[in-house]
Amino acid sequence: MRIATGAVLPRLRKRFLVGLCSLLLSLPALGQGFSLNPPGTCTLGRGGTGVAQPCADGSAVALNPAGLALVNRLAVASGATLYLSRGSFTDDYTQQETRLEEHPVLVPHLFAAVQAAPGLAVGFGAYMPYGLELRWPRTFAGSFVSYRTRVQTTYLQPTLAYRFSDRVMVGAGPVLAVSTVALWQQLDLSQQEALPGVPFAALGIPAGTAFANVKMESDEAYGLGGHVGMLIQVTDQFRIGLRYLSAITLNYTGTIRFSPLSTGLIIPATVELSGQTIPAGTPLDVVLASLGLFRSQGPLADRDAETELTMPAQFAAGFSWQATPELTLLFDYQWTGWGEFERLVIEPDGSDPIVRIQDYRNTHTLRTGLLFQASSILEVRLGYTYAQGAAPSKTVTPLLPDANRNLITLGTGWRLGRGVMLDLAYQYVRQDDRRGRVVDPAPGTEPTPALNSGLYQIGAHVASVTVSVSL
Amino acid sequence: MNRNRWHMTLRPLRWGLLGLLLLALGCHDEGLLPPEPTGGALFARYVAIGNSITAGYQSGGINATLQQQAYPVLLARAMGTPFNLPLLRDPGCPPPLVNILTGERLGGLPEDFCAYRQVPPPRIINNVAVPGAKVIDVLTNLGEGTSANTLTLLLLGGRTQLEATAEAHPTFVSVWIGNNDVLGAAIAGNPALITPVNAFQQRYTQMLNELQAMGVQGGLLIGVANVTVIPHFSPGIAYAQAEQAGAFPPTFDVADNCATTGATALVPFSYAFGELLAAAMQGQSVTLDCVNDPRLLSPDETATLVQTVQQYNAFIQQQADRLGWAYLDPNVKLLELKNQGQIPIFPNVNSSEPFGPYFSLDGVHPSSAAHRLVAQEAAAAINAVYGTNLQVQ
Repeated sequence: MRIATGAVLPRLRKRFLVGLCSLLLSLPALGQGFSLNPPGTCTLGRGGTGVAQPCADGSAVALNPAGLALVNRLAVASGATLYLSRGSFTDDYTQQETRLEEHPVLVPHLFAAVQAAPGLAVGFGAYMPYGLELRWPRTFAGSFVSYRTRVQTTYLQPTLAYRFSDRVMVGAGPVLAVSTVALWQQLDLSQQEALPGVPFAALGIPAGTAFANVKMESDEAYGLGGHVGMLIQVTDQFRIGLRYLSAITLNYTGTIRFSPLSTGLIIPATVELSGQTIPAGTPLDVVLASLGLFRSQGPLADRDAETELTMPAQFAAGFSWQATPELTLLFDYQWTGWGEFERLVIEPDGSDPIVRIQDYRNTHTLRTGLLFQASSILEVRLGYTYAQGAAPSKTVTPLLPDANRNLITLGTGWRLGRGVMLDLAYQYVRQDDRRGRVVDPAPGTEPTPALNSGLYQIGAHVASVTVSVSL
Repeated sequence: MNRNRWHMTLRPLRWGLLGLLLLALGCHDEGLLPPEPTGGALFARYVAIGNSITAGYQSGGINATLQQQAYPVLLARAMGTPFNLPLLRDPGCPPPLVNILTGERLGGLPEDFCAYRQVPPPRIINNVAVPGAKVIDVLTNLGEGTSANTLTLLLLGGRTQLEATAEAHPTFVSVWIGNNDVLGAAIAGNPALITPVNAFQQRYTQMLNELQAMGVQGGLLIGVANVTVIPHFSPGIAYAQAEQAGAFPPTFDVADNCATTGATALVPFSYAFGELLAAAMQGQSVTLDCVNDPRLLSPDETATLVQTVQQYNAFIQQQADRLGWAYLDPNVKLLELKNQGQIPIFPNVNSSEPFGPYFSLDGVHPSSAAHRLVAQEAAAAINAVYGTNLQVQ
């Protein structure tokens, strides 16, 4: 039987550019899921609260730059937070569950602050407000969107704080953001055009036939921003705090590397394709290899790409209330400007820019914390956070199955000796179950919730340890 | 700090902790789950395995319209379960016949035309049947005795029916396979082409074992049709009577040995009309010989075919009983229709339904009306075993 006429096989190569475009449409999109906790173990233990009363370990650089003015003489803190994401996607139809590969990620932090003059403090912080990594099995249906995503954005922030009076403190500092993004995904042969107007799917190649692996990795990108804060001591027991962290735009350049994968398919019957006879029993890989797709001048040759991402602005306000000499209550509200992330513009090497609509929404986060001074050497901390997801229903994908979250934390600060503290914290993250998709829309079309085909269930365990010296 | 003060101070902490735990644990939102099939959880994922009949092939062709009229589609509708088809683009692959005498096909296109598949393809395919498939083809696409063809590629890619089935993680399957293990022999008039019963049984068993390994919870096995009953085959005497009635040109001779009133050879329509009559129409003198022509099915050969089908079906029914699955013998209804005269002994070429209302224009494949009948019979067989209430409209 004749199944194609006219076109010849070399045309196939040009058609694979369509595949490249669909690949680039899948660059990682940031979301609430990549927002990390406010840094520092002490802060984590109290549910991330501290805009009005930052910890005394120098982490005020990140929580509220004005808080550095509370440092007595010197504060240095160094530690790390371990994130272990767990989760799954359950397909609506097959009811098969695909689990996230558990891969712990260690995020270090470093803070230092010193009182340079009466009422004047300087400090420095290195912390990661946006980051994390998700890994799905390569057999996952969503692997054509992404099976591994990594975003690391470190903020380096020198800070100056000044105490105007016993009641008012202010602080500010520039922020240098250093960021890398990496994405791994597979290409689906069924979506590639075999002949003009005839995708491989029309020749029967099943949806989800992986034939190429793609790794896109950016070089380090740099961006500048600023962070300002204010503290007002209303009464001896009540203090309010405000802070604003500006958005930072990062221009990424990177490399896309393609490598072939075996489809495992064998042509079951002798067919005539574009005038060439392909005998029964021929592996499909042989047919694809004959096209030279991965050669240096081929359509799937390694290439450069550029894109731009903006780390969103944050505004936070909070209060602290010392209810008893032993008990302090904290409350923070944070607004994060994800709404700025309406679209992603990608500029692939040698082709027109591609625009992807994201339509993220600004998020609101509520945090409460409770500090209990159990003894002169032991502080017990509790916290609860409710964080809104940024992604609309149409962009809940393997890249980032974003949703609202509830987080509870438990922490402790143990004074080991004169000025030396050991902070420990644990947090359980329970993200709301949310329907999402495992496929991208066809190139040129917008995603819709109708593409959602299953349930993402995500959670995480977070543990943190910090040693600090405060004099 | 004394014990009482500890206790008083920790009280809010305790309640706070409990509240936080309740908030964080949350609960599963049932609204996030997909609805259960109206026919019951047994039919959550239904896959149909088979050959051309199950695929929806009619009148020597197949396209999306015909695929959507196939009995598994009607059955799935009764089950209230999603059922994805590997839909072909119109006019088909190949387009179905519109005239059995001229061989004209839909759109005036040739027999080797193929309009490919519709895109985008469904992620999961529920009707994995492939025209031309024998039992062995459910297991493998390559090797001796297999009959993979272009439609095997177009409908399933490089996968076998079982491989495509596994991707759906079926809870329920229907299997109507085996007709081609005897049909080819019948049309060629050569019983040597019949799949031996022991090979049939071995392959059928392997297929069922693999389905069970997939976790299938229930199924329907449909027996092999008695291909000698289908209107594609007519007794020699019918040709003799047609000749007497002046249905053939003078160049088409029907030998006297066809006119006997006893058991005579069965004449395949594709041979008598497709080859002999076509040659006669071009002026060539041809003779239909009901005794000496090896292309016809002699009474002994017919008996062999019928006996093989009976052996196949005895085995299939035994397997259905072993598994606790439903079984449907299609020959009960087929013979009933034959006895009612709904299946003509000789095609009425002047009718829009030359092979009657229950067979399409090739005289081999069931019409859409017959698919409805099969679906109704299948639903009844399933209901009888599983206590369900499937109703095919």
